[in-house]
Amino acid sequence: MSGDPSAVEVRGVVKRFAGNLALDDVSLVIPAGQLHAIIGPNGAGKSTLFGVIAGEHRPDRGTVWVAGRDVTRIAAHRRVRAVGVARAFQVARIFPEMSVRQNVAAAVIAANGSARQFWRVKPLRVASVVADEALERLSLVPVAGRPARALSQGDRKRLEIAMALVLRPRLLLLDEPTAGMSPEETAATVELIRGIWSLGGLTVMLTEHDMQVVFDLAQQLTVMDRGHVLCSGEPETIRGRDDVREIYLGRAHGAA
Amino acid sequence: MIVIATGLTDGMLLFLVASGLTLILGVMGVVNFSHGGFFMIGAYLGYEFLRGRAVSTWLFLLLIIAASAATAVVGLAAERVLFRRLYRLPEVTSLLGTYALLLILEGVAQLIWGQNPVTQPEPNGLVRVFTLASAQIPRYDLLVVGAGVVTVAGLQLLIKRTEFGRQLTAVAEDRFMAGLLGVNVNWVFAATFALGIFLAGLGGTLAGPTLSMVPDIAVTFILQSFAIVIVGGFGSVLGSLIAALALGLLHAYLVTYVPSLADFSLYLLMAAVLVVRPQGLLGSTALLRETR
Amino acid sequence: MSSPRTAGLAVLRRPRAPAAAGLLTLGVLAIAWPQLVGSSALFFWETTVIAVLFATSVNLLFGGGRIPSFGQAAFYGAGAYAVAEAASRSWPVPLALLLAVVVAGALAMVTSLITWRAAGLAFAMLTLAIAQAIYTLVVQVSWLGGYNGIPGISVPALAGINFYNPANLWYLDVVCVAIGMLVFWRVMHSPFGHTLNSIREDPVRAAFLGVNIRAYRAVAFTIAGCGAGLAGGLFAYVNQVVTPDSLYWTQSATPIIMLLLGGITYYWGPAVGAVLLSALLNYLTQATTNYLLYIGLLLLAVLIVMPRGLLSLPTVVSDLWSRGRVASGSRSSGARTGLVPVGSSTDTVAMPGEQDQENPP
Repeated sequence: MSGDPSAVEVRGVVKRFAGNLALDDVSLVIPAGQLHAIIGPNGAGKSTLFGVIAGEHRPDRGTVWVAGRDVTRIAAHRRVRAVGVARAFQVARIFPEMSVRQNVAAAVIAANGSARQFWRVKPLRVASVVADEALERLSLVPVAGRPARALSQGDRKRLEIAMALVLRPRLLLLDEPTAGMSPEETAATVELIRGIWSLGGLTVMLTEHDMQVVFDLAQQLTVMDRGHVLCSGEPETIRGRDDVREIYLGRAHGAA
Repeated sequence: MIVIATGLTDGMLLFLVASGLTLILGVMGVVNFSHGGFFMIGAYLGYEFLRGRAVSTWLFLLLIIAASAATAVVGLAAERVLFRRLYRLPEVTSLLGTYALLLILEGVAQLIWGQNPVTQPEPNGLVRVFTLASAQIPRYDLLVVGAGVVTVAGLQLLIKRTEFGRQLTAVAEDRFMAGLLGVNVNWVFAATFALGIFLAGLGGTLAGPTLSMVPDIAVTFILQSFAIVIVGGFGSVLGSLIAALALGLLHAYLVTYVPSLADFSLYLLMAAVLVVRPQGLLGSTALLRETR
Repeated sequence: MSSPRTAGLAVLRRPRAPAAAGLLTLGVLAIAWPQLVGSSALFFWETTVIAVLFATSVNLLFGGGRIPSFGQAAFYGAGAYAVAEAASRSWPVPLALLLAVVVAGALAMVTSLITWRAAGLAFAMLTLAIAQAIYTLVVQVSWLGGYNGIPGISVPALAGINFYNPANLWYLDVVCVAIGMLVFWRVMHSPFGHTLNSIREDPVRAAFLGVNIRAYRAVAFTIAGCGAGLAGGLFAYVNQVVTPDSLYWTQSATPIIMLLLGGITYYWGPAVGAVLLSALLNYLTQATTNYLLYIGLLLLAVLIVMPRGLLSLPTVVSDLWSRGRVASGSRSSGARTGLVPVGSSTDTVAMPGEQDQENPP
């Protein structure tokens, strides 16, 4: 291989939960800088795949490579800084009792290493300023002083993305970024993700149920079903495949 | 031989207390500090029913059941009035709530029975010893070990073979899902708590004749039971049985042969087991996980 | 702007004048106290401010990082025994107290390494067991005096000040406690404290921000252990006798009761709780033999009515008031009073990497 290593490479990963195969020999390569969507019905293994890439789950077999580095045995919190992985969860995970600004400040001090300071108060003040810049980009400034638990679901997800971005990630994992959002919020989030990605230097992986979002955003798709990778390719190619239509698109349209 | 007999007896008493504790922890996710309090209440109730008289073995058996049941009723009342409100609180707060109940039970016992030790004689038929392999073994030990065996068998049958056991397992695994599937979680909680407290009371009344009762036994017994629960694995009845018997035997052995180490038997056992299996002998990793 | 109840950034925007005035008042009171209460009551107040420090150190764990340690008595006792040993060798006071802090901190660090992987209830029970093991050990060690402990601890004169004068002992006590309180204030409001709070709120989110949550918990545990050691060391000087009772597990429970009474989310919560509980115990032990009952009832009442402690009283009252005015207001009053705590204990998630096997250290 020459030039840039791929952003993510998953090689023959097997993951069982209490005997159930969640990932069955999954292999996947995602080139650096791509905006890539993983789709598939519920229980296909999308979230587990994210968990394996981010370090939440350790695969029973196979290896995970991020930015050309084997991270299979690296703990989740180390992956954040070692290879620049950041992630947002399907149900946004935030610090509920802290203010929105404090949430982002926690991410800032985690990223710049000042979190270890247990005597000086100043780095926290600096972090607060940096946090405000991030909040401005995501238009969360009006709610910066509110406790995070008071936010709407859409704002929570935006806050989580803001926290992920101050980590300056090279790989951003977004699990269902528009789940539970109104059509307006969804449209704004699509623009937001496109905007972040188009700044360059960032690989984005997302899972999504909303096909409109997927076809608006993704350069490439991977379709998963029951722990397998069914196929990968351009959105137009994928759309034309009968097997995909059958296992996923057909059902999704039926359900919607 | 005497070592084995003493070890088994002490172990069984510990098991009776720890099994209730582990059930409540496994199903309800509450570390019940007040458990030792109910053990003490059980011991005092046994005394209260007999007022220190020695009675025949059969009557004694009946009284043990009655005293344990009475303890369970007190426990059920506590669950209805108090624990109910604790489930929604963060675990540390609910822990302190059960500690508060321990203090209250101890205070009430002081109020009723005073600070001076009282004793409960063994039933008439079981005062004497019998000889086995040239060792003199108190007959009362037979009763304790017998009660322990019956309890283990009964609990296993209850959990593995009955509808209640299935509901209990479901709630222990995921109370939210169990509730969605139609299990009455409130009812299972109440029943589990009553059952656990019944076992604490049983341990207390059985232990009655073997110790001099002061309200403080509530505190001394709870710590050992906690250790048993840790070693046996959270929520595992069989694990706590193994751990309790192992501790009883180890302690009896050390008392006889290495007395200076006897007080450490608990910690030796914990260290030995937890280095190899942090989740305890038969526990799942569920309780080692992060909660938010 | 920010919620005044959460530590961290919010404090930077708090007006400084009232805080300064409050601290000044406390300082003046501390100086005048021996004259105000008389020397016979001074012993009670000396132990009370020690309890304030001890409870505040425990709150770095409970309130700061939701680290439920039930073994802090071990470090309190370690500090007390360290000072007792140092005093019997006539070490100067600062050195003896430093020894107390170091010994307790080292013991806490070892404990945090033993309990590295445990969290939640498992951690609570393990710390309890470890502390009891230490108690059992100390009781058996003859050179530490067994059950009788070490009597006759005297405070050597420091820079010409002799501590046979009760007021001087009080000043020594108060100055050391104030230093300890300052350290804990700084730690709780530092980036470290902020990160610890984030671990309290959601350990999984914190881990995916790149925070090594176990290491942070271990450091917090060590710092809290140092604070407990200082409190224990001061207690040895004040009490002049150290017994294994200072290591017994009920000694771990007392500061936890204090901080829950006062309020776990407030810096001054543990202090308020400590003064309250000390005064109450002082009164009840004289008035009745049955004080356990009343302490238990009080604790339960606070837990159920005001789970956020007595310092949340204004919020609770104003909340009830506004609920009365706006019959069905849109905002949730439960969330504000803490009657509906965030994150129930049922909400369990696997630790990253923990699901399958342990993380490499």
